[in-house]
Amino acid sequence: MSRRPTRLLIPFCDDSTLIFAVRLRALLHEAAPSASVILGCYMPEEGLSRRQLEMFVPDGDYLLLTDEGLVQAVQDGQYDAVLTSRVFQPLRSLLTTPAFRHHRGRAQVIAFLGGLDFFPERGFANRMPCDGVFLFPQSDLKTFADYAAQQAAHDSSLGAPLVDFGHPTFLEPAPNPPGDLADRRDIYFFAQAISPLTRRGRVHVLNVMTALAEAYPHRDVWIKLRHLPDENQTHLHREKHDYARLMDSARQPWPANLKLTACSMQEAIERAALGITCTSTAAIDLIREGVPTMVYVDYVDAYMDPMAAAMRRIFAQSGVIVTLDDLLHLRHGTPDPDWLREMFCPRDLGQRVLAMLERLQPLASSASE
Amino acid sequence: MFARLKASRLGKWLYRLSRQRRLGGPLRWLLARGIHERLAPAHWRAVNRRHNAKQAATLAAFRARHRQDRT
Repeated sequence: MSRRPTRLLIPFCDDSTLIFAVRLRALLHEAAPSASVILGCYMPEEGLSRRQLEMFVPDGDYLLLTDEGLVQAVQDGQYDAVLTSRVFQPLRSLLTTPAFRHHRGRAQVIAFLGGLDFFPERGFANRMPCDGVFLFPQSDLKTFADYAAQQAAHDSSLGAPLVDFGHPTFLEPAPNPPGDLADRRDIYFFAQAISPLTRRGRVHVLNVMTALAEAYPHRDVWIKLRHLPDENQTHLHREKHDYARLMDSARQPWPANLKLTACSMQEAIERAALGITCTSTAAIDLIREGVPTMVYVDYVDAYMDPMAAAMRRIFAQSGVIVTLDDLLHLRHGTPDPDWLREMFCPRDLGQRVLAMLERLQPLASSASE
Repeated sequence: MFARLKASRLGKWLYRLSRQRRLGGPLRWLLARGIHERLAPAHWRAVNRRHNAKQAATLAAFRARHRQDRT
C-alpha cells in the first residue's frame, strides 16, 4: 500500500511570518516534492497589505484561518504537522490541554523562532508546549533542552519537545559570493521598525546615509524600508519614526543619489554591493547570500535601545560589527567562520523537519493508545 | 507613547489635553517630534553624553570633508 503524502500547514499573519512561511515551504518542496504544504493566513492577527501579499504570495495560494479554523485544522487530522514561527494563542491553549496533547491523529506542532531572538527566555517559554522546536544559535539547543526538562518535571501536562537546529532564513552561506558582486555599486541600508528607538537616533542614521551619498556620488545609497508608512499598523514591531516621513519633514534637500525603496529583500540583496543595518535580521540575509555586511550599533541614543545591546551580544564574534568611522569609509569585515557555524544551519533543513515529524508521529500514536 | 502615558493620572490628563481642539494639535506635534524622548534620565549620564558626542563629531568631521552644496 502506498503511503499518503505528508500534509503540512504553515500559518502566517504578518510580513515576518509570511517570509518565514514562504521560505520554509520552498525548503520542504525541495526535500519532499510530493508533500502537500499549505500556507494559512491567521485572520485574527492578520496585518498585511495587498502589496505585501502580492509580493510574497502572488498566486494567492493560501487558506484563511479563523480561530476556529486553526483549532479544527490542528485537531481533526487534516494535517500531519503545523509548522510555525509564532505560537498563536489558540495553539498555545490547545498544547497546554492534556486531552488535546493525547488526542489520536492530531497535528504535531513544530515551532521555529521568529527571527533573531533578542530575548530568548520569552521565546523558550512560548515554544515549550510544542511537540518540536527548531532553534539557533547552536548553543541555545542545550540551554533550551535543560530548560524544557526542568519545566516538564514541574508540569505533568507538558513533555519536553524534540529539539533541532535551524531556521529557513539562517541557512549556511553560499561558498562563493555572487558572481556579479564586483560590478555592483549600490549601498543598501536595511531599516528596522523599532530600532533606533528614538527620533534623534533615526535622524542620525539618516544623516549617516546622507554622508555616504555625498562621499560616494557614483553610488546610489538606498534606504530599504521595512514596509510603506501605511503598512504593518498591527505588526508586533510598529514603526514610530519612519524614514520616509523623516525625510519629508526635513528642510534640507537630500542628495540625488540617496533614495528610498520598499522592494523585496531578495531584490535588494541581488543589487547590493554592500549592506548596512543596525539591528535588522537583514544582516543574516546579507551574510547568507555572500554580500559584504556592516552592523552599526553605536548610533546616537543606542543606550536607550535594548535591541542595540542584544544585537551587539549576538553579533559580538561575527566580525561584521563596525564603528562609524569604518562604516563611513566602507571598511567592512569578513564573517567569522566559527560564528557562522554557530548561527547558520546546514541547507538540508527541509529534510530535518520531515525527519523530526517522523520521530514525533510514533510518539503521538503511542500516547493515544 | 499615549498608550503608555494613559496608564498614569498625569497621562490621562495629557491624553485628554491632546484631544482638545486648541492645545491638542501642538501637543501631538511635539510628541511626534520625539520631544518626550529627550526627557529620559539616561541622556544625562556622562558616558551616554560622551557616546552621542563622539558619534556626532565623527559624522560631522566626515561630512565636512565631503559636503555638497545642494542649495
